[in-house]
Amino acid sequence: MKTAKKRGINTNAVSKIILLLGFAVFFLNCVITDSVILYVHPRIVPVMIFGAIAMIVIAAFLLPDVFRKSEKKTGSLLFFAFPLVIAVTLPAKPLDSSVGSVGSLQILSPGTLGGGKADMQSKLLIMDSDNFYDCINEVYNRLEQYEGTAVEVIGFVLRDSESFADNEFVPARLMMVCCTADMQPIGLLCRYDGASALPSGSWVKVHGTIEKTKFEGGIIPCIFAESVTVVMEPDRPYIYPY
Amino acid sequence: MGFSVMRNAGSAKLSNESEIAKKCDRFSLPWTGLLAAAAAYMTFSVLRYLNIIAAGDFQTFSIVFISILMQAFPFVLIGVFISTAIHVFIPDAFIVRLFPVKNGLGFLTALFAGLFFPVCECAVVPVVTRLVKKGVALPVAVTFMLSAPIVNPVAIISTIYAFPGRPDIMLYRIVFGLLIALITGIVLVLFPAGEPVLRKADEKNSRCGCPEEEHHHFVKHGRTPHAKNEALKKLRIFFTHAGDEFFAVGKYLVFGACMTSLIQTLIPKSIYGSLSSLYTLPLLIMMSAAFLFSACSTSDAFIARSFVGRFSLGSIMGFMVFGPMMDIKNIMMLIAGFKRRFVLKLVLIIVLTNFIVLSYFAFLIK
Repeated sequence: MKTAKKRGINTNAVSKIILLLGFAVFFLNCVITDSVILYVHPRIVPVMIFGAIAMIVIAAFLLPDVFRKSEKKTGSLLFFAFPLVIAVTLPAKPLDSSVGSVGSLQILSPGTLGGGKADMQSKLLIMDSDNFYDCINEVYNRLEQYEGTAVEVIGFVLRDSESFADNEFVPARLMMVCCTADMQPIGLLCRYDGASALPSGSWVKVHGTIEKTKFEGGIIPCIFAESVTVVMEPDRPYIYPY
Repeated sequence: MGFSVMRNAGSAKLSNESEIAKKCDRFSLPWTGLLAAAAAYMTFSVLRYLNIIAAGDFQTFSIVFISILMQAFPFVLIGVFISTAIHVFIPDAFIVRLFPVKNGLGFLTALFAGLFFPVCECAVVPVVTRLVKKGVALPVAVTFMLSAPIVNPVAIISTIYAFPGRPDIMLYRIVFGLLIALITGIVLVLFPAGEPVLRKADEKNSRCGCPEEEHHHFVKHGRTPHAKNEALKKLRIFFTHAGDEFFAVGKYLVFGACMTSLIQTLIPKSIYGSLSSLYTLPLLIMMSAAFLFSACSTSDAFIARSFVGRFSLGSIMGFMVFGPMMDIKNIMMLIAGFKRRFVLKLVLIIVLTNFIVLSYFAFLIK
């Protein structure tokens, strides 16, 4: 190390190598531990692995520069250190659904949307992580056909304080399209007499039937719940359409 | 960051501006970064003390921040690799021939190149900067930059998914995206910049990490027969250069992502929905929402979907067409390669073209 100091270590190259490897290891670690799904859509994972390998290769080619003097300034590399420190120190955690940063819930609108692709003409409609988005499109667009259908859905309790009555909530899921920056809650309105006792954000399994209802002047589907049970948060809390 | 400089630029003379810019480059980027972080931390603490934001907001901010970088870094790397490949292996003349200026053929290539050369808005900026450095006409390069994220096949597919049964929305998006990209290019032809638009430091290649002669070596003579480890040398040049470019663009990306996540954490998204009840310039609200969200063009259609019912289709088009063309990340990355004065001008042209064309569209479909 002493000889190295005499010749002068190129701090710029060293910092770059540390940053590149840091991000690469962080990316790969997220992929291996599956915590990656809390940050980005699974479709991004192959691209991330490519990115991690690219960063490792770039770092490898920087190695010969370590003992070569350089005039380059290192200050701006602080920009990269900041997110890396945050990434490593803060554990990945599902976003708090009550935080305003997730998009607003849409339960009134999709009048202009066309038919979903899913075919769910069975007696009992089970909305799971894979078909949640399609189910909602389907139910909204062919409400007549789905009236009276039994439904089972798992979601977290979401309320819009202004327009919801005491017995109303939405068993919602957060939908991620690309990364957490574009997350938004989706779900069907639900009426249940014991709704006010359910804490917001808690995960519940709802059994009920789909009926038409009037809400803020529009006709929308609504689950009339027969039973609501508290359940564990699913392993994959978000849903990923397409 | 550079915003105070931009404001000064209006009154100061050219020489003055470049001097400020030079100083700004040398000192203020890391320092402003640090200061901004300190200021943000202070604001955060005060707000938290006053119970305006919850402790969980910091968690939210960091997850959003990290996740934006997580998906943007790989795409910027792709962009940087393409840019470096063009720089190191392809002669200038060939690239210029690909984008001919005559008879608008260059525009035609630029408009549809994105279909075969799928880059989203994070990857397109380094590529465009490189194209301009290589001598491609600026208007043509800008048209490519604006159209590529919209005709990106992934973006098209996601738009179809977000609006099932409404392929017309996807078509409108492509048609108006291409139209606006073309108009912006033509505006740049009619009102040429008249001064160099690239940042000086980059023009001279002086910040490039590898020995300069080696580049020209490859570019001029193609493959040289002698050296045994020729391939390794070439690879080394390629990757060191790509690394330099990644760090040069990346710091702006990190800054842009940081701003975006701050805005997302502090301003609830539902506010855009409630603003719609004001009925004042919904198109402008949608455009600024797109700008502030900085969502990727491959996913923004799903956000746009959530505005259906509260905003007209014309205004939502503002979100889906303007968004991929301009957002905080894009502007920051453009500043990495182009002069601030030009970036400002470009932003103005793009905003105006979008506003005028989409207002007309909104009027038509009413």
